[in-house]
Amino acid sequence: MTSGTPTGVTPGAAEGGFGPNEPVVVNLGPQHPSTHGVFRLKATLDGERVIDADMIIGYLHRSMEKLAEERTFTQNIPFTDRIDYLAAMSNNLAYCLAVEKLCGIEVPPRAQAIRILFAELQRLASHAMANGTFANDCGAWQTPLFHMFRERERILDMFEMTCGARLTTNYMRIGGVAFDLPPELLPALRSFLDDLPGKIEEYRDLLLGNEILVARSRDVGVIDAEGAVNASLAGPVLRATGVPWDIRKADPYSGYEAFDFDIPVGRNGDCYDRFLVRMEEVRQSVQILEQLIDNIPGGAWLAELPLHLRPPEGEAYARVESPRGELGFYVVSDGGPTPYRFHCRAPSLINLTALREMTIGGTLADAIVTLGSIDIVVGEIDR
Amino acid sequence: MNLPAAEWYDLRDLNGISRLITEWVADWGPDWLASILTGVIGALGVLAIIGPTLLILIWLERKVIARMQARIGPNRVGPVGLLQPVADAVKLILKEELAPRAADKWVFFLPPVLIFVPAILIWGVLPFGPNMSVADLEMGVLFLVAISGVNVLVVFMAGWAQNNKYALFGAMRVIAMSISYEIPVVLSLLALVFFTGTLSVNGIVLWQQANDVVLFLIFPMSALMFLFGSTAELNRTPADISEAESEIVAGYHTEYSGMRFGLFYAVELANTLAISAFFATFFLGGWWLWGLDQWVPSWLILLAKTGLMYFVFIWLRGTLPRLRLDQLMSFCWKFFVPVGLVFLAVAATQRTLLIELGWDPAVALPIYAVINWGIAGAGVAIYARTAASPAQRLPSRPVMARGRLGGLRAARELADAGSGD
Amino acid sequence: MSDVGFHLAFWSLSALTIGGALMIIVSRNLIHAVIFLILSFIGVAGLFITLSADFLALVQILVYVGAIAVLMLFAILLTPRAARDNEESLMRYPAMILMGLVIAAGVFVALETDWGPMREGAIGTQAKIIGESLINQYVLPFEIGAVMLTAALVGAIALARQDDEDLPIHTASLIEEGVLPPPDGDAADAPAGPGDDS
Repeated sequence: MTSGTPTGVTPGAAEGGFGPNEPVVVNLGPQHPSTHGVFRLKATLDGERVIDADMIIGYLHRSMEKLAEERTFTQNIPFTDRIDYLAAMSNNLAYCLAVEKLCGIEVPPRAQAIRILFAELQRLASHAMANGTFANDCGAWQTPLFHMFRERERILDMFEMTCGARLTTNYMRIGGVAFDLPPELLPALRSFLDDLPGKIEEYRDLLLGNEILVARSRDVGVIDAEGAVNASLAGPVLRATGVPWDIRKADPYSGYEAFDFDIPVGRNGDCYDRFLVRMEEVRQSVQILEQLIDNIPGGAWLAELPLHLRPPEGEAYARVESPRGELGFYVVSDGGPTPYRFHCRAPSLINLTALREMTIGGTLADAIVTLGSIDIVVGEIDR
Repeated sequence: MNLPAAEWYDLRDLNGISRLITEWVADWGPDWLASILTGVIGALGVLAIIGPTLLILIWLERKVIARMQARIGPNRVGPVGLLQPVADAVKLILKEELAPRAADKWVFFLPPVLIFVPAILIWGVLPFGPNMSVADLEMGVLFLVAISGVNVLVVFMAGWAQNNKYALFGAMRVIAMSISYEIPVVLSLLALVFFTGTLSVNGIVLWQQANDVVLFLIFPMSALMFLFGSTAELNRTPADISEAESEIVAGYHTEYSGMRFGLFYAVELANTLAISAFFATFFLGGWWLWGLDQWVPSWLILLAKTGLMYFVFIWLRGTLPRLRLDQLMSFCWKFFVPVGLVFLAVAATQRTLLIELGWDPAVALPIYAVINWGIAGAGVAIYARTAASPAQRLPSRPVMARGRLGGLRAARELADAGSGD
Repeated sequence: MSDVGFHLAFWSLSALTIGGALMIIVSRNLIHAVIFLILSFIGVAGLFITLSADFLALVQILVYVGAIAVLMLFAILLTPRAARDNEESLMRYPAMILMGLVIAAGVFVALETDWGPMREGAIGTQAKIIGESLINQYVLPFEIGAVMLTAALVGAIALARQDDEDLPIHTASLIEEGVLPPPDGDAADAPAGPGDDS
């Protein structure tokens, strides 16, 4: 029987001659309400079920690692702000640690305390964003997001009063931090820390106990501990599978060994566990800040360094526990004023590699929730 | 029923004006003109009531949701932002209306217009007062169900014609969901019809008036089924999967822009308003409020109750995440349909007992209410116990590492320690 | 019912019904055909109203427009090769003869029926009358219809049910994909998280 001209405009139907299970390819992104930036997920769907998922990245590539080879070590700090623009402080810190390791610089104790303070505040801000957008991906119509933004706003205000910027802070320097703490910061931090535990309990009740949220995220995007370790995942995504791995404990930097905090891990490795781990980490960060706030040592906040830093020939790798996982900077120096090689181990990129395995077999809606639970920042993936 | 035929200036019954005009036309004109005029006046009256209400409710929705989201909401256009809906409409009208080149032209063009038909028709059987409905059909409940089913087709046309995958997904979702959720809605209304013994919408209100009780108290599960089934048919949270923003962009109206989108949006709100009004009518006594309707215009009472229900819809939207398609389906088929059938039997039995044994309603109805609340509570409890998967029963507190650190071995130790607790 | 209004309604609704039916045949696009079919259904529902058969009209909309047309759309979308053009098919000649016979039968019935009771005017409370006759006079056909529909429902579920339902969808798909070994292997419970042992 001859098939005439296709009359339908239904996707796929015009071709004719295929079974009811012919898959449909749907592009989620790069322009899509839930891709957290310009990330593209090419999902092959059988009905609503995802049978294949391709991750296509590179829409935000800015060639930072190459550009950094043309700039001095200090000039590269603003680049790190823009790698993970939701956790600029952590990126500043990781890069500065790498260069300090390369040069063998001693950081004054006050600077170390200030660095921890801002790294933990940054973790709070980033987790607020991650959890809010996760709830948004589950379909909660912006409400949790706005509530978490309310808390994040106070943190960004503290950043602003310290260094004048809210997102791309450019605050840490090689050998310390750029400015001393302003006098109004500690009272603001005090009142923030007083309010936050109550707010966290509120979010626990509203979100973690929400049956719809549990139904949407439990047993969705599951990855087991072995798979997570094999995929080299890090951060909350790894800890949600039950692996107690945190750089702050495993390889303490900047004086984290002095603080008492615990590592929350999940039970099932699903989206809900990732959400849960982030929620609990917020509380642990508050605990660290509580220990820190009254014990910030005095003294200099920036080590005495030559104006034109020329690290000795060699290489260094330093890593921190960024809100998204193990963030490492690898810097190679040939003795000149600029790095010979500048490389960033971006946790978002490596966590994202597990997305395919997590989404296959779930529904389209599950894929969105899983993507939200991994908490990617496209700036960090593409760099 | 209680009111005598009202004079035209009596605000309690706006039907008086309509009757005055039609009687005057019937004096000199052909009577088909009079009956057409009745329809036109009724439609205009309904539009005159719901149009301004809708504008205010759009503003209210934005304000209330803003408050729930720790924001202020619209406050720039007009006093306290009251003119914001007007500004939105003007913006939508001024926008360019694009049509995809591969779209099916006519099928693409028609739905924004056609979708108004059921949205307006549905108001026809709503009693705003004792004799204040455009058409007090004997089979008003059936009319309501039939007309709201037509909506699905229009949405399907819209989703199919755009030649867009997101839109097609939205259309398929909306059809699957509407067909499924029509059943609980019909079952819940059928229980009311069985119990009150009338298919007329006004008849149900009159029954509530005669027995001095609102049906919500006697049939809580039917009210829940109607409410949740309506959110599914209206595409509102927690069942807004057919236009799930985070998944399929805008669902069945992805490619509609400008006022075409505006029409979909307006109809969605108008339908929400209509369902709020019907919920108020079926379960909260409609225009009747323990005799207050003798003093206050009954349509104001209905609008107040409608506003209350509309607030509930806003509340749901502002606070709940969205369910997945398969979860919505299993919720419908595994919970609502069996429970709806149970309540159908319960309603029929209770009605028979009331009529055949001649029990005094004042004694029987409270007993019925207690029994039905008990059955509803038991149903919810049983479903809540059985529905959750093992993973969903896991505690909502993470395991704390307590000094353990490392890779897979530490993970295994932790899991063993956790299971020992 | 006055004459002018009735005739106006009758002729416009008839035009709608027959026009819609004609367009079903003329339309080359199956989805368009279904939409015209719906138009035709709505016209029929309107005709029922002019006959004061409100109940039938509403059931016509509820069942035919709300359910059957939707099912047709589903069938068209889910059936492969549904949208093909069948202009060249030789089967159209037997189909024309068959349709000619059907139309002839329809005309014959229309001419032979005694339309007398139509002039008696509207019946009062139809829902009550229909309901009572369904559970009194016609209770056996009614029950048989109900049983048949239930049987059809059970049969449809049995046909549509998949055998690999016992596995969770996620696991089944991963096995299909080759990510996981088949369930008879030792690692069948691989996706279980570390906390699942409890």
